[in-house]
Amino acid sequence: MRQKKQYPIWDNYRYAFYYLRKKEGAGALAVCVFDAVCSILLPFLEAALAGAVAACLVSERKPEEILMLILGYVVLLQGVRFLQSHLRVLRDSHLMLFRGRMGMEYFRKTLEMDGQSLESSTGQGKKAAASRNIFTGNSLGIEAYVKSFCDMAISFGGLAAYSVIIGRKSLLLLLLLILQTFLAAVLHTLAGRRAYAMEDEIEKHWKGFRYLRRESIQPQSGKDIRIYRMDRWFLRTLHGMIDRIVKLIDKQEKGYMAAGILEKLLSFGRNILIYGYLLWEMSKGRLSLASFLLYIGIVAGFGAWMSGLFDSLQQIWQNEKLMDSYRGFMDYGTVQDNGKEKPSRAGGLHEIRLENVSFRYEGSEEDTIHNMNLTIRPGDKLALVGLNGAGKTTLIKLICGFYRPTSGKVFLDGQDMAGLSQKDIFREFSVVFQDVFAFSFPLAENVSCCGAGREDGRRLEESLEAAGLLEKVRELPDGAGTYMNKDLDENGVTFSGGELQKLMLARALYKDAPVVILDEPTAALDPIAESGMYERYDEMIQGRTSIFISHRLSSTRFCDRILFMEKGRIIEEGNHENLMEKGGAYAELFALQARYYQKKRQEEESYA
Amino acid sequence: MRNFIAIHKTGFRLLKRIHSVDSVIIPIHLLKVFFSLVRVYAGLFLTAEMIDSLLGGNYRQAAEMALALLLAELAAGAAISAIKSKTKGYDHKIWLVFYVWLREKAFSMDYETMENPEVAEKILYSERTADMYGSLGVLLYHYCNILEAMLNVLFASFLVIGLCLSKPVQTGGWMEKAASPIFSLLLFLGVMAGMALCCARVFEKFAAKQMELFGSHTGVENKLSCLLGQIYENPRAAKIVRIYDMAQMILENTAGFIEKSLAFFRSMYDVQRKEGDANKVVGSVFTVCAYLLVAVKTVTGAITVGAFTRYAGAMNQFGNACFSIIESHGRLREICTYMQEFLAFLDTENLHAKGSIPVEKRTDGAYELAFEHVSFHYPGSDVMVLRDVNCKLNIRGKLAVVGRNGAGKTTFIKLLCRLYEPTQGRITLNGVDIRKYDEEEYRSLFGVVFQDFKLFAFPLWENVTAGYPRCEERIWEALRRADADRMVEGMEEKLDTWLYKDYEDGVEISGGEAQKLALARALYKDAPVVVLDEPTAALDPKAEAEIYARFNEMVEGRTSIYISHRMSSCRFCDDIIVFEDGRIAERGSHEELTAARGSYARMWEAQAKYYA
Repeated sequence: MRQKKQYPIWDNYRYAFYYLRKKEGAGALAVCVFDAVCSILLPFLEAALAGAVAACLVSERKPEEILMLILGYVVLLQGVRFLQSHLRVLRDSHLMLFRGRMGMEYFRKTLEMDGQSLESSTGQGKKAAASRNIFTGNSLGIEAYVKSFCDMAISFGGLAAYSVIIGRKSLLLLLLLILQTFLAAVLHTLAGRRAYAMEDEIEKHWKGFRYLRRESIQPQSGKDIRIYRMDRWFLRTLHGMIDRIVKLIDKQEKGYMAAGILEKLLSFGRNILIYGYLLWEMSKGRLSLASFLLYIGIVAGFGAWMSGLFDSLQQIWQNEKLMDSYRGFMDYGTVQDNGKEKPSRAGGLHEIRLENVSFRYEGSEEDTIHNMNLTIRPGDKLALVGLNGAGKTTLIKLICGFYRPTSGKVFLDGQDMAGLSQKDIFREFSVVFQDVFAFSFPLAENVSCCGAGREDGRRLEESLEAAGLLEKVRELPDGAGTYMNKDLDENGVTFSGGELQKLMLARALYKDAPVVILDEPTAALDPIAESGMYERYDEMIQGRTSIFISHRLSSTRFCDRILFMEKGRIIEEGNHENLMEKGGAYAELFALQARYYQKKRQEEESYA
Repeated sequence: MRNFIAIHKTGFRLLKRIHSVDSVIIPIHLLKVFFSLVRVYAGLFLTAEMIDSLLGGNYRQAAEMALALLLAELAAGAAISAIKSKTKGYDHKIWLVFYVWLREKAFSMDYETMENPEVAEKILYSERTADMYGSLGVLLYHYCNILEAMLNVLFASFLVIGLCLSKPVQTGGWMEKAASPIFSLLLFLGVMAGMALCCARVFEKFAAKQMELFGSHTGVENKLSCLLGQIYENPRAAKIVRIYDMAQMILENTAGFIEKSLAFFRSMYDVQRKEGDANKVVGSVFTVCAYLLVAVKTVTGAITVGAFTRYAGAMNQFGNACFSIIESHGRLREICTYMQEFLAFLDTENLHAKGSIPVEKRTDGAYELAFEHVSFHYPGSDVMVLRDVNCKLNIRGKLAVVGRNGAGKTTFIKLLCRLYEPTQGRITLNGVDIRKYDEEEYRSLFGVVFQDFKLFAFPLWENVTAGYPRCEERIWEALRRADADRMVEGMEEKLDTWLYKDYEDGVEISGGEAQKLALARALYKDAPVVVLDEPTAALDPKAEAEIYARFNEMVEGRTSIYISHRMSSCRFCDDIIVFEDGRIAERGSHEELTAARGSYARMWEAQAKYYA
C-alpha cells in the first residue's frame, strides 16, 4: 500500500489557485476560464467545418448562398481563433508573473522561518527542493503545474462535449471510445508512477549540478581554480552530472514511450471499428456524407483531446513532486511565536542559566554539548576558549536562543527560553559570528539592519567610530550610503577581511543589546588593530554582559572569567591568574602560544 | 535585413554548437519533422480520395482508403512518440551543457577579466535569460518548426497552384470568371503579397520594440542572482539575519528588484501578445480569402467536393505554416537577441597573452623570483596598492610577509601567482619576465593557501588532489604533513568522505579543519614555491603550534612565503618583509628588525606584551 500523500492533489491546486488569485488578481482566473472556453470551442468549429461545408455544397442552395454560408462560418472560426491566441498569451504571462511573485513567498519563508531548522541538513534539502518549484523555468514547477491544470480542464471539457455528440449517434460507439480512453489512461498512469519514483534521484544530481554551477563562478573560487587547475575537475564533474540526469530521464521516458506506442495501437484498433461502422451505416443509407465527416472529425478530435489530457496529466505528475516539496518547505520550521511570553527584563542585564543542557546536531551520533550547567551572571566578562571543535560556537548559539537544546533548559532571568518568543530573545543579543561578510546593500543598512533612511545617524557614527571604521567610511564616495561589494552597485566598495570584521563589530555595537557575544572578532585584524580593540574592549562593552571567543589567548587577559571547553564540556574555569597557577589545560595552551613571543627563546625550541 | 542576418548568424552558430554536443540531436529532430509532414499530407490526400469514393458510392474503395489512412496515422504517430521520448533527454542535455560552456569559458579567462563585474554580469545575464525563456533546446525547437513550416508551404504551394489552374465547368455568371485560372492566380498572389508586406511591417515594428526593451533592462537579473547567492542560498546568513532582525530590510530590497524584473517580463509578454494579435489579423484575412477561392472553385465545378477538403486543408496548412514561421521566427529573434550576449561572452578576449616559454623543470627547486619596480592598481581604481616594490625571493628561503590590513600583502601574492599583471615594472623568474612563460606551467610552480580558499562539496580526496587522479600514498602524506591525517582517520569513509551537504549528504567541517585540508591540497601539489596566506587564522593554539613546529619539514627544499597577523610566525622564518602602504618598509631577520625599532618592532610589541 502506498503511503498517503501529505498534500493531496486537490489541496495543492487549492493552494496554487489561492495564490494565483492573491498575486495576479481574479482577472487572471477569468482569463484562464475564457481561454479554456475558446480552446474547447475552437477545435469543435474546426472539426465541424468539413462536414458543414460538404453539407452546403451538396445541398440544392444557390451558389451565392453557399458562398455566403461558407464565408460566414470561416469568419466566425477566425474570430474564435484570434480570441484564443490572444487569451493564451495573456494567460501564460499571468502565470509566469505569478511564479515570479511566488519567489517573494519563498524568500520571505527563508528569512523568517526558524533558523535552526533552516540550518539543518533536512532544512537545506527541503529548501533546495522547494526552490525548483519556482526557479526552473516555465516548464517545471508551480507555473507549469497551474498551466497543466488548465490544459487538463480544457481537454476534459473537450472530451465531455464530444462524448455527448457521439453518444447521441451511438452509445456503443461512445462506450468504445471511453474504454479505449480508460485503457490509455491506465498506461499513462503506470508510466507516470514509474517516472515519479525516479524523481528523487534526479533531484539529487540536480542539486549537485546547481551547487557546482553556482560555486564554480564565484570570484572567490577563481583563484583556487587557477592555481590548482581545477577547471578540468569541475568540467568533468559537470558533464558527469549531466550524463546521469539525462540517463535517468531517458529511463523515465522509456515508460512514456511504451505507453505512447501502445496507445497509438489502441487508437488504431478503435478507428478501424469506428470507420467500419460509419462506412457500413453510410452504405446502408443511414448516414449522410456531412454527418460522416462530422463524426470522423469528432473521433479524431477525441483522440487529440485524449492525448492532450494525458500530456497534461503527465505534466501534473511531474510537477506534483515539486509542489509537495515546495509546500513541505513552506510548512516546515515555522516560528511559533504567537502567544509566547516576552522576556521579563527586556533590555536589562540578564542572568543566563544553562541547566543540564545537551545538544546534538541532526544526523550526528554524539552530543556536541554534554549535559552542561552554567550560569552567566549579569555583567560577566566571559572568555570562552578551547580547541577547534570543542563546541564553543554551538554553545553561543544555544545561549542566544538560536538553537534549542536537545535536552535540558536554558533560562533567561529564570524564564525558560522555550516559552519565550524568539524575536524577543534575539533582541537581547548582539552577536558577531565567525562568518565575516557584508550583504551587498549600503554600508549603513549593513550596520543598522533596517531599511534605507530609517537608521539613527548618530548611533551609526558612534558605532562605526568604536569599531575603528569611521575614518574609512568618511573616505568613501557616498559615506555610509556607499554600497558594499559591487553586486548591486558598480561603485560599491570591497572591504578587506580586517575591515569587514570591524564592520561586523560596528553592527553589534549599533544594536546595543545587553548581551554581547564576539566569536573570533580579531582573526583577520592586524596586530595593531587587534591590540587597539583589546584596549577599547572595556569601554565598548561597558555595562553589558559579554562573551569573547578567541584563539588568541591574549584576549583572556581582559576578561574576568575564563571558561575552558573541551569536547562539549567546560573543564576549567577561573581568571587568567588562577588558571595559570593551576597549571592545567589552559595554562598549557597559553604557554604554547606565548612561547614564540618570549624574548629569550632557545633556538632549538622552534624546531621542537 | 541586417537584423535578420545577425539573428540567423547567431542561430546557426548555436545550432553548430548543439551539433557538437551530440551529432544525433539534429538528425533526430529532422526525423520528427519528416514524420509530422507524412502524417499531415497522407491525411489530406487519403481523406479526399475517401470522400470522392463515398460520393461515387464506391464503399469498398472508400474502406481501402480509410485503412490506408489509419495505417499511415499509426506508423507516423508511433514514430513521433518514440522520437519525442528520445529527444527529451537530449533537450535536457543541451539545456544543461549551456551552463557548462559558460563555465568552460570562465575558467579559461584570466583572473583579472573574470573579476571584472561586467564579465560576471554577462554570465549571469545569459543564465537568467536562459532560465526564464529557455535556451538552446527552445532554439532548436523553433528552427525545426520553421523548417517544417517551410516544407509545408512548399508542398501546399504545389497543391494551391494546382487548384488555381483548375478550370470551372459551368458557364456564365461572375462566378465562372472568378474561378478562372488567371483570376484565381492573381487573387492568390495578391493576397500573398499583401500578407508578406503586412508581416514584414509587423516584424520590423516589434523587433525594434523588443531590442529597446532588452537594451533598457540590464543588470536586474544579475542583481537578483547575487541576492539569491548571498542571502537566500547562503546557510551562513541565516543566523545573522535573525539575530539582527534583518528580514524586513532584506525583503524590501529584494522586492524592488523583483518588481523591476517582473515589469520587464510583463512588457515582453505585451509585445509578444500584440505581435501575435497583429499576425493573427493578417492570417485571418488570408484564410477567409483562401476559403472563398476554394469554395468558388467547388461551386463552379472546377474541383470535386472531396478535393475541397484536400485544397482547403492545403490552404490551411499554407496559412498556418506561414503563421508558424512568423511566430517561431519571432521567438528565435528573442532567443538570439540574448544569446548574442552569450556568444559575445564566449568571444571575450583575454586581456593578457598567455605566454609560451615552458618553465625549466628543476628538481633542486632553484627558481628565483624577483619583483623589479613593481607598481600596481586594481582595474577600475586608481589607488596604487603596490608602489615600486623591489625584492628578490631567496631560493629555498623562508619568507614572512607582515604588515597592517590593506598594506598590500595579498596583492603581492596575487601578482606573484600571475592572477594579475603589474601596472608597472615586472616580475621575473630566473631573470625572465614571468609573462613570457606559459601561464599554466608557470602556475604549476605554486602551491597556495589563500586567505579565502575554497573547498568543494565533493569527496575529501578529490579536494586534496584538486580532481587529479588518486594516489593514496601521496594523499596521506600530504594530510599528515598538514596535520589532518588524524582527523581524516576519524571519518567513517576516510578519503571517500564527502564534504558538506550541497550534493551528497557529507560531513560539515569546521574552519580549522578546512584550513588543514586546504594546506594538504597545497602540499599535495608538491610545488617548488609554497605560499600560505593566514593559514592558521582559524586554528586553535595547539593546531597552530603544530603547524609552526612542522613548518620546516613542510616546506623543506622549497621557497616559502608565510603571511600572517600572528607575529609569532616570524620567529621561524629567516627573512621578513614588512609592507606599509604598498611599499616594502623594512626587510631583515627578526632580530635585526626588532633592533631597528621600526614598524615591525611596534607590531611585535603590540602582540607580545599580552604574553609577557
